[in-house]
Amino acid sequence: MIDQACSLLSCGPDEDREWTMADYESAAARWCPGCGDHAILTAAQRLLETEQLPPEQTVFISGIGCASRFPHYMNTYGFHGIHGRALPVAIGVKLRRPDLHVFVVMGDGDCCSIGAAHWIHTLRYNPDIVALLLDNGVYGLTKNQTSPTSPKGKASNTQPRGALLPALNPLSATLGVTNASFVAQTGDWVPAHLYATLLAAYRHRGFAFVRILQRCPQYTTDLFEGAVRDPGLIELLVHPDGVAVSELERLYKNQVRHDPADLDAARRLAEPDGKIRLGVFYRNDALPVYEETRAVPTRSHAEKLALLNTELDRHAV
Amino acid sequence: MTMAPSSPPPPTAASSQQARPERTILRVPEHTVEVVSDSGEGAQKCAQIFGRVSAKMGNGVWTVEIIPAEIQPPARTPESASGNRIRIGTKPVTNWGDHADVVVAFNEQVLLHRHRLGALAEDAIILIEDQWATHDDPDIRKAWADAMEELGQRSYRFIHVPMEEQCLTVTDTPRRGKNMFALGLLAWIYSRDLDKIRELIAQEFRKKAQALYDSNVALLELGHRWAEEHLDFRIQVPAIEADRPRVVMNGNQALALGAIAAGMELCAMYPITPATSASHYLSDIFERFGGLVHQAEDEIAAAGVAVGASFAGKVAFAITSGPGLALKTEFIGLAVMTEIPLVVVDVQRGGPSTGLPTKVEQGDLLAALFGQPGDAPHVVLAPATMEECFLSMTTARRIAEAFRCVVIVLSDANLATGVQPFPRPEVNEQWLAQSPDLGPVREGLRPYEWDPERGLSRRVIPGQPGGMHTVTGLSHDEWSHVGYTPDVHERGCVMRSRKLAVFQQMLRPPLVHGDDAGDLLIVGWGSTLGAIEEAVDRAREEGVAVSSVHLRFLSPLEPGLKEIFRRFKKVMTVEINYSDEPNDPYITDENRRRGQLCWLLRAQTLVDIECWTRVPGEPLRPGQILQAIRGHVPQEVTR
Amino acid sequence: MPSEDRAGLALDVFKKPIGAFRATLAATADEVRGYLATRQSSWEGKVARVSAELGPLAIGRIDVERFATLVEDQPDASPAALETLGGALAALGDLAGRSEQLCVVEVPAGGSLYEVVGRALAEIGRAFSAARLVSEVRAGRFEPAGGGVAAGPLPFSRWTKAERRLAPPLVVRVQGRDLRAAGLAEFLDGRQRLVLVVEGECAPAPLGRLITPGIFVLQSADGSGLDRLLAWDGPGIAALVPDSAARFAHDPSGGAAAWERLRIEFLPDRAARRAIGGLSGAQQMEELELLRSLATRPAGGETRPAGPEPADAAAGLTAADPADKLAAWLLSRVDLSDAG
Repeated sequence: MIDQACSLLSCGPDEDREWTMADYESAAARWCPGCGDHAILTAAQRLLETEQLPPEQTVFISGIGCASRFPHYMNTYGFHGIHGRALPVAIGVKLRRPDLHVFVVMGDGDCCSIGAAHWIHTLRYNPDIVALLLDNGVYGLTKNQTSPTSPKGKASNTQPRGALLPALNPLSATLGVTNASFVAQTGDWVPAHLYATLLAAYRHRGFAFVRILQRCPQYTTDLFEGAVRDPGLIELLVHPDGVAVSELERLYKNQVRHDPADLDAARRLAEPDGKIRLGVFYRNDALPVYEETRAVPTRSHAEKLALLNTELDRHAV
Repeated sequence: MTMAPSSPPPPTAASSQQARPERTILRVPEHTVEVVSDSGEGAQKCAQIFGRVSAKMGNGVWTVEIIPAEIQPPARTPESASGNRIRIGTKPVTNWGDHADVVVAFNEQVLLHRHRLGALAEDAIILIEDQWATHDDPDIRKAWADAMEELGQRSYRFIHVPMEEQCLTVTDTPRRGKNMFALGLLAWIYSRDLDKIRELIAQEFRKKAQALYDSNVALLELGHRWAEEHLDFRIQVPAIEADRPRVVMNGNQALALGAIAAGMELCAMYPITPATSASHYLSDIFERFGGLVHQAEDEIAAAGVAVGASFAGKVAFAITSGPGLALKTEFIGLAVMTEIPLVVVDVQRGGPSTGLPTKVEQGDLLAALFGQPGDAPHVVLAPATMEECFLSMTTARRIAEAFRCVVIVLSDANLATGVQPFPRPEVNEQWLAQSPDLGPVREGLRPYEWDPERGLSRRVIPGQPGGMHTVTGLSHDEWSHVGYTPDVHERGCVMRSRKLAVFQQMLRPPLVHGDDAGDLLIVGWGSTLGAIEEAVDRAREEGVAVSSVHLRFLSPLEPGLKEIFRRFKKVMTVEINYSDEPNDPYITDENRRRGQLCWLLRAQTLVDIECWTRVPGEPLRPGQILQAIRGHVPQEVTR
Repeated sequence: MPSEDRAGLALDVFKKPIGAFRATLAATADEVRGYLATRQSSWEGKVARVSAELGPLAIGRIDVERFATLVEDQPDASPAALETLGGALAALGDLAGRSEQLCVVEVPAGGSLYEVVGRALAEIGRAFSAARLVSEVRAGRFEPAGGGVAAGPLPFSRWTKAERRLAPPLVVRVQGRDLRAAGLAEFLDGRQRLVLVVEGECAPAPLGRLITPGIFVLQSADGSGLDRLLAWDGPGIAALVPDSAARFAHDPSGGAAAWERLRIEFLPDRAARRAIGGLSGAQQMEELELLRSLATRPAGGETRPAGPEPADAAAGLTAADPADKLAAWLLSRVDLSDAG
């Protein structure tokens, strides 16, 4: 937040304490054993610890689905709302309280299906929020229905003879929206990359959209199994302005140097061609941030009353 | 120029040497004027200025818009009729009345529209543009002749006015200038203060070129002069000097200013008629006050943004109309469940579905009360006047905060677009919302530390050290921990519901208009207040023992209703929403679907309440209600 | 340009943050006033307040006395607490009332720049003192030994991280010969910005030694570059210097290496030989040399290597981390000494 007035009573003098991982942990997560969400939770907690974000100044907002239980497991403020609608709530929070660090956690049904309108438009608003799409290609909580990102042919309870349509590509969709300012992809089984991506997303000024390929041990066990077993299926996008994790380079031999400023290249790389690409596809820190575009002066009560009386004068008879 | 409005003023236009007709001066306590044109010819602007200048001169005023459904409907068709009705009176005017006494019509087709709706008094004086009678186009001449024949069935008095011809002497584009000429006619007839009108025109065109102002004033003066030279009557509606300063605005402007006065800082909206004009006004001024209007991508997102902002501190509001309220349902349920204070304004229009977008109805009452699946107790408040539109926002915000609850404010298209003067609010620092306390919370404070008797708990806001928790739409306990056990869910339901009972006990019984007991009691809510009370007063003058009560709080219902109802032989609601007529085919007492307030009151009081409702897409006329009263007074006691 | 004009120019550029700080003071005062009202009133006062809060629509419709029972009773405030709140409110009002003058100070001829800046910031810090006292009272942690506690000056060293981001910029008028900037490094943290309006002759690069990777440092003759300091979301210092002095801008957002961040517009060929502001001719030369070397692109150093290299990658990944910035800066220094 730059040059915006607030109340001195809400800036909190309690800053000299050091936050540890334990400070960010809440109830024990109740996802299935082997669920990719556990790793994402840990990465998020590690991010908060690295950045020393005070838990009371941090809000995790989610919709409905397995992924959306996330806030319950963070010892921050949390908002576990309704299906698909996490992003509007997050915009409301950020508009009035730009001082808060806002994270949104969505599943693929949340983001790409029922909440798709909010996804597109939040990209346009470009609030300074980190959004995590935990994409496991299936509706898990409601027990195995086809999601927009289910691969074609994947059988589910609603499409038992296999998903009828090709999967929606959230990266291409995101990169096609005017004002998209940060688009990255990572996987739950590459914790170092996951963490580095979250860190880069947090440090981006604007709406950071991170698609996290997430394994569901229950319904889409085979979705990323190949990539987990064979690092050769993965291609890392590396760049100093994006994510580069040296410790992964021995394992993941396929690397592409991709400057995240290059939108055309990002769009090409996002097209499905059999490779799973992890890294920052696009990043532009210079785009206006919605809550700053909409920043308004802070008015004292006396000023408000004076202005109100002036306004009433205009209607006086 | 100053003049005593109650004495016949001297002619004010530039004096003319021509011989003037003999004049009759009609002195009346109230009069109703309509200005109708094709859409886009500016009759509304003319009428608005006429209404405002009348308010400024001390008259009571109520205006109602006549709005076509399209932006540019085909010209010279009844569907194109656009304009206003303005009722002015010596005393405050509370509704649009029954019939227009004076009409200025820009063509015969729009006039026909008003005629067919029964909007004109039997002896209405009609000033009509007469170029159509002798128009080059034979189809137009025929349409004129046909219309005149149909209109001739009544004893209207027609005055042909060569508006176009006259306007051409001043402007090349008479179609755009006729409205000011018409304003000049009315200004002369009703002796309106020309200086005040010039001021209003200047205000209207303050962002435009001086030439535009000049030509508008020239047209105004031209109309005034023409009337002075050709008309044989003037009408006086004496005004009373107001004892308090007054303001004049429509209900949507009042809501917008009320939200600012309530200290709100965020309005989330998606364009929808007839709510949108409130956000237009707010968009213009809100940022100066440190607030902002967020136009969301859809109605659902607008609700979500308001919920998010409220969750993060100060109460925000969303403003919408029926279809938007339907889309906001899930978020309203969430706000109820999470106990996030929220104000939602529904400016009602005709429904269901897209219905009558520009026209009034009170059809959202039950949707507002019960629209959310599951049990979602919340407050519903319905302002009855423009002034109450302003004041209700402060009250709604305070209730929402005190009870951590949702408050739905039900306005309607009649209030939204109607204009009425009211005492200038004395704005008060205490109306403004206090900043939330973001200090550390007491150790061990639970986010829903429900007072077991009252269901109330203290709100914890993000930023408060030690208060971290996750609110959830799932069933939860005092810690906001998800719990599906019967005790957790039942306790949550009890606590949320109990708040409403506590609030109900703080409400006072409504006042009865008229005698405390009698034959018939009319019960109404919302914008029908003025029409109902006028009808009741007229019926009482006829000797009918009728009274009325008007409810502001619909949820919880105001107390003491059963006791009030007991004192009347019959109770009947009057509403602008649909109900089956008892004598219609197939309709029986058992299957009859009743007016929405009627339904609610019967359920709540077990009193056999009757209803009289209409859905004409326009405000109720007091005369209609009077007839309904006559028709429903218990027979054995009719005098 | 006379120094009054240049001080005015600086104030004009920083109008927005100064205005925001004043609005912050006013908003805080409103909040304290509201809180004080809840602590001071009797039952009747509380009913009257609740009645006013509900507005005229509630008259005759809501039983205000019952409604008032909803409003939580604050624990009784001790006279000392009330006195403290009153004092805090007065301090906030006093500071808000001082308008821009709160943010402009002058170093008397021969005076200490460090002390004047320190005192001015401590005075601004009274607002934080006041807010802290109110927070303590509100949280029930306020336990006065005797009477009320006054909101006194609070030196910068005791400001919290949040406070260091909230404070307004400070415009300081100073004689060139009194410009000894080294000590000011202490105040360059959070989002604190200092603008020195220099009168008379000064050393050619008095701010040179304040250049560290995360600090915006500007020397300008006509105020150009102040807009970038305004936009920079971190600490910074600017000096509006005479034409004879060096003109440069060190913008931390320019890049990881020193030469990417530092743009030199003008360097005097040689410094005066006599001492100015306590800096000997040799010291002045040293400062110019420092600037020159920082701004030099290392020989053969392309902007970035073609492939990912561990050190570079790490620097890119965590470029915003102060420790890494420092490391990157030190590295760049090593490069330079090699090149030289």
